Amino acid sequence: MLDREPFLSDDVRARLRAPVDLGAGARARVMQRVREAAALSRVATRPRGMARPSVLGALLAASFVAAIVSGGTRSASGGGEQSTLADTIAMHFSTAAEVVTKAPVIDRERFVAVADETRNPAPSPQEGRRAAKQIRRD
Amino acid sequence: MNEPSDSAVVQRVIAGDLEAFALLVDRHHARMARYAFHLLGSDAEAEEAVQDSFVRAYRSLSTYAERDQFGAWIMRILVNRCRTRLVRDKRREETAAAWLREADQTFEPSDELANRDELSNALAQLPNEQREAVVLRYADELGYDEISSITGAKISALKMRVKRGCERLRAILEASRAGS
Repeated sequence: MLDREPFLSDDVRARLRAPVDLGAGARARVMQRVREAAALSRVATRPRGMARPSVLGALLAASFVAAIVSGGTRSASGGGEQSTLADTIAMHFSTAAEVVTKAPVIDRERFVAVADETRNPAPSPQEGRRAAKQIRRD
Repeated sequence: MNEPSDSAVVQRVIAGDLEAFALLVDRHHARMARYAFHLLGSDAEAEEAVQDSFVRAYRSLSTYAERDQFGAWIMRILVNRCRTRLVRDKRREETAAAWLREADQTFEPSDELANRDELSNALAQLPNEQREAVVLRYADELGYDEISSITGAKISALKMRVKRGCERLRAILEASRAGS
């Protein structure tokens, strides 16, 4: 295939193909560097001065579960009950539920302000109550 | 006894037999040294590029998927290594030339460049892409599909690079002989 491409003379091609000597021990020096790289990677993958992340993670998870379980029986130093994480979550849920079920408060002044903006007549108090009822039904 | 394939040797190295890597070094060092020398033009630069490529290959061995084509894979690493070096060297030369221009001095190539033999000198005058293609084609005697997989260039572009590179190389060598 190369013969069909007479771009270079045989002499130049032979010189290009000639082996290149990088000096005695060039291959041994490559292996030396590879061994050094291998030793470095072994050191780098070994955890030093701390527990393995998986062990640390397991310990943290266990302590978290223990805190939640034992939290209900824990007492504050003042003698009163200290709220636990479960208490706090329950409190947030009950507050959110109250807000959802509470009837919306319709402020007449706001209606008037909106009417001014839209140039529509402001609703009478009766209409306002009807509107509030409609909102409640929604 | 049959020699183990590159892929079998790679498996041994991954399994922890570091010294088996020496087999891969023995098999591929010569062609890598020749390529790096023709591209970079100096023994020292070539040796460093070849060493870096083997170390890089060793580090990436566990993630290397084409285990039956280790030769092409490590040549790709070397080609990229040489490209990086050539870009870096060009920047250095440009910086040095700019400094010398500011100091009203002319830029002269280093002794290393001046002492290159005729062929190395001629190769050094080719654009990097042409030099890469000519060396892989004529020093390594690779087919265009192999060169394409190593360099990432299209076959049509490679054929053009080889043709133009060879024309230029011939002209430089003829001019050099006529001048001497």
